[in-house]
Amino acid sequence: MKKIIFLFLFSFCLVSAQDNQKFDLGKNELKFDVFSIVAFGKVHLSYERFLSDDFSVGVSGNFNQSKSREEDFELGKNRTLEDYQIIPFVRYSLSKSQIRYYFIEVFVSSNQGKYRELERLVDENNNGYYEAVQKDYSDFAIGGAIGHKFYIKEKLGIDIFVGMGKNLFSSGESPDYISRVGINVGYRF
Amino acid sequence: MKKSILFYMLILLPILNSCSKEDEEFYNAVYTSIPNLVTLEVESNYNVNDVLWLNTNNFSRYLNQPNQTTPLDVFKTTKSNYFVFTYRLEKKINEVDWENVSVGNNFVVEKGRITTNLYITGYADFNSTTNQYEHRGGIKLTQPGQYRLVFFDGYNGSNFDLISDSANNFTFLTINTSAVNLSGTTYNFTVN
Repeated sequence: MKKIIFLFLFSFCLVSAQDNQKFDLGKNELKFDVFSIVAFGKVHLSYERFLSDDFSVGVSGNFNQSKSREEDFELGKNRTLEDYQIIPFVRYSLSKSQIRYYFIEVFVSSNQGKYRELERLVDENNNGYYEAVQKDYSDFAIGGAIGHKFYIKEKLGIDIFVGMGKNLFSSGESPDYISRVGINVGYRF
Repeated sequence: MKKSILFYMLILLPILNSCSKEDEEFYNAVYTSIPNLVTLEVESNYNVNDVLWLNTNNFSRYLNQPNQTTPLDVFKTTKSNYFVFTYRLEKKINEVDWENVSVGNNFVVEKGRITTNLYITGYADFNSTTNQYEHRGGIKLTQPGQYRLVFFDGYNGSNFDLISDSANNFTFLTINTSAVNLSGTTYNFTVN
């Protein structure tokens, strides 16, 4: 982790001298979240379209591939297991620089997964018993995030973001809150 | 540069924190109240070397649960081989104060098991033949004096709890119960 932090800080030094120049960076960017795959076992891919120097829109796809999280869910350690999220987002740059800036983001998330809840069932001998029953959920969240982005060689974009969203239709099935954190490495063209 | 470093430190903390706190809620537990699953075998008076017994003779695998039309199958719910309950013995040392009595080896077990430390943990073991969670144990009363048997408060602040040791991902069950011949959580008695 120390190495990762060092690389980020070193990258700032490389790009800080170019902050106020005008660049033709391209309008599109494809990104892969290295943090989510390592920390959560999720494949998180994004596309971002730059509408102006300040605004961009995009969409992210987030797919659970974590065996350990599936095992935790099967063993009852976690109540929910997210299968995927589709996250359209809008970002606004808070800085003048094109290659190094802070941004705020508003996003919505369509998310689906599995959950377990306790039910009192009755067996063939007419005795009741409790069992955690598995069901599917789907929900729709809205949320916000903040982040920082910078480019290396005007093509390799790195953005770090953290945020949170609230599921709007949860009544105990889906998670109340969803996190939106990641470290994207992208190619701008 | 300093602002950037600070920003990244602030942003990394919640990122790392989210690794361990995502969806850690525990859902697989049931709490219910079913009275009189423990019985204190009280005597009208006690002498030194008598035994104060208690048992779980009413603790069937199938229990009538409040607001339900069918009995609760405790074993099917929990797959628990035993339930535990805790209590302590105290002796009056002056007009207002009580001290904890270390039971040590002054305990007899007829069914189930116990462990003794600062307090006594009774284990009601499941008997698949009788379909009962069985415990009968007694404290040998070795010294004269005024005593009280005190059960630890239950999850809802009253009476006391029987707690399952559920296997794998089976449901954890906590039964708030009371004891026959006991009002509340304390039984006062005198040993002559």
